[in-house]
Amino acid sequence: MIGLGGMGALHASILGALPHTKIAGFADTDKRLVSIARRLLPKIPIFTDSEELVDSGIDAAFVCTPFPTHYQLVTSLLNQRKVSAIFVEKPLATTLPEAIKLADTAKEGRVTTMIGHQKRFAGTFRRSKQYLDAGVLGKPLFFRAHHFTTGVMDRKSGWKYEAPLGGVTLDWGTHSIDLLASYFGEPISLRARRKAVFSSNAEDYFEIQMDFPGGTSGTLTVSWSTRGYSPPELKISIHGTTGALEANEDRLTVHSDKDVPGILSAGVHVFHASELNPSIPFLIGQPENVLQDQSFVECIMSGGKPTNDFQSGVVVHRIIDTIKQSQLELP
Amino acid sequence: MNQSSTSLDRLIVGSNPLWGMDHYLAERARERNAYMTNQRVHRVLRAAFDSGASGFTFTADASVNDQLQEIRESGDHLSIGLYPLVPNMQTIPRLLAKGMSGMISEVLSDLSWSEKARTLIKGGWSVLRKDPFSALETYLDWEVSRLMDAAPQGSRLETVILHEIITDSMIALGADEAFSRYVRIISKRMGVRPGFETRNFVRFCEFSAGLGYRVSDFVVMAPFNSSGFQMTPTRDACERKLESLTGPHVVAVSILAGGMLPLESAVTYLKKHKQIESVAIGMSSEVHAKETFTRLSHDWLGRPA
Repeated sequence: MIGLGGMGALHASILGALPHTKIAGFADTDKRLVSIARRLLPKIPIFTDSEELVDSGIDAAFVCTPFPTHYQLVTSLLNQRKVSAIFVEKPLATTLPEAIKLADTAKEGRVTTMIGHQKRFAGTFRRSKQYLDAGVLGKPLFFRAHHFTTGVMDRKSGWKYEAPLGGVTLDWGTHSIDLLASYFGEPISLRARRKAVFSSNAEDYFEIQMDFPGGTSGTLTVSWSTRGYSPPELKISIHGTTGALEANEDRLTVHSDKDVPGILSAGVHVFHASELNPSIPFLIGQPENVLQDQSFVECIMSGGKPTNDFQSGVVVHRIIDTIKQSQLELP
Repeated sequence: MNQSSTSLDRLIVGSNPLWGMDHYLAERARERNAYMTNQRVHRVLRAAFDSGASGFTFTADASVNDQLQEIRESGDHLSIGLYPLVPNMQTIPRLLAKGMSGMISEVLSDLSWSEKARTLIKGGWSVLRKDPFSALETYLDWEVSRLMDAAPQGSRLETVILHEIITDSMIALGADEAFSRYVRIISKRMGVRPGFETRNFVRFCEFSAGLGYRVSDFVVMAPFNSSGFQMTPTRDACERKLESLTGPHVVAVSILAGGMLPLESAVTYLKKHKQIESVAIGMSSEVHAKETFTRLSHDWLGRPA
């Protein structure tokens, strides 16, 4: 586990509790944090250098550091050629060329990879994908999606909120972008707008119109400066030739015009998220956090390929590029 | 500070709906955030305590302290058992955002009244490096002291409960010493039974037994309901573990599975599982508070109507 912050602690706790996995060590450059962590977790080796952690003998690495460090850390892991699997918290990198380089190098090295887009594993969104793939909606024609939170409601300082790396897109926006790409593929055309609401030179809001292969089109709107969204909401509505669905973190509602044998009967169906998750051996964080890490471990053990691998991150970064290249509109 | 009782309050008011938290429906939490005010919170609590509740569980937090202070200053005499969860809800997001070092600095900067705190600040990081458990003890002192300063007259501190994220992380990472030190701080320094919130009841029981503790040494707050909501790994496994225990101080939460189960099912469930000593349940309206606690008081506990 590289990174002793919140996400590192969460992933470490999940992995520590799962069968077949063991935390072999932590690494963090913050020496004070390392010193304290060594007192709190005396049974686990803790390093200040990620290369030393890798040299101590590990099978897989989790990179849970601030994203501007991802490219350098993952490149180092790939160059060391000592781990067979790498998980990186989202976003994969800061730029499209970095993402491409990491994906290509990982592929050459036959490294199993995953990016922390855990919404794919949330019950409602996972089931939505199953219904789409099974043809419950027929041909998907159009969609509308938003991801809102009441997070940034005044001017904040720090790199997360200031150009060039700051803004909602790279911090928050990748979840919904990745989810839509997982449903419909890589878009063939994009038109984006981005706006500052409280921030001085970074976007607090973006909207992007997307056209996908097969004719599906729609709009995604993302903002961390929206009132009334605590807790946050990611909501997707999709309409097709034979059905429609609407999903957020709590609930999935499906309208199906026809029976799809073995999948869903005709009619209106409402599912709560808790009905859609399989049994989980140890619950910490959200169920999708556990399911994602479980899936990664299963892929490593079976030789399978995660769907949210580095290549999927390249698709996300192409979309991010379009957003970032649009002019920032100030209030 | 009052010593905790030998038995728990049977009916405990949960605070999640009062402060816009909901484990079942995020959209309901968003709605509640919009309309809950301090006055409404006070009325809901009053209705609950008038209907049979005698305990209150909440995440130790400045806004909760403000609410308790208002009740205290209103002259409303509520002899209630307090079941605070630590760390506070603002701390966890700050911990996630700033990292542990930022959180520790923030807490220490507020501790101007404490000699120990002054020592820690003066010693700075070198003290923390040597003994982060001192920082833990100082933080707990601070959190509980400001809570008791604000709490209504006659309140009893029954336990201090460690938040599920911390409890379950300790279990997952094998943080034996941290667990034991927490137990020692709460039981020896504060003189109350240590409490733990967990969504992994079976693993908690196994972990604490492995360290030589009995579950009956603690107050354990965990989900129990007839649908298995948040009961990990399965409802059956949690119930089997529960039935194997003797004399636990188990507080059931999520007994209505976030409001999706009828109250009758909760009563039936509680009557069946006698190792559940108490139930913590939250609501956001006075009518709901009155109805729920009156029914539980009468139908589960057999108290006169």
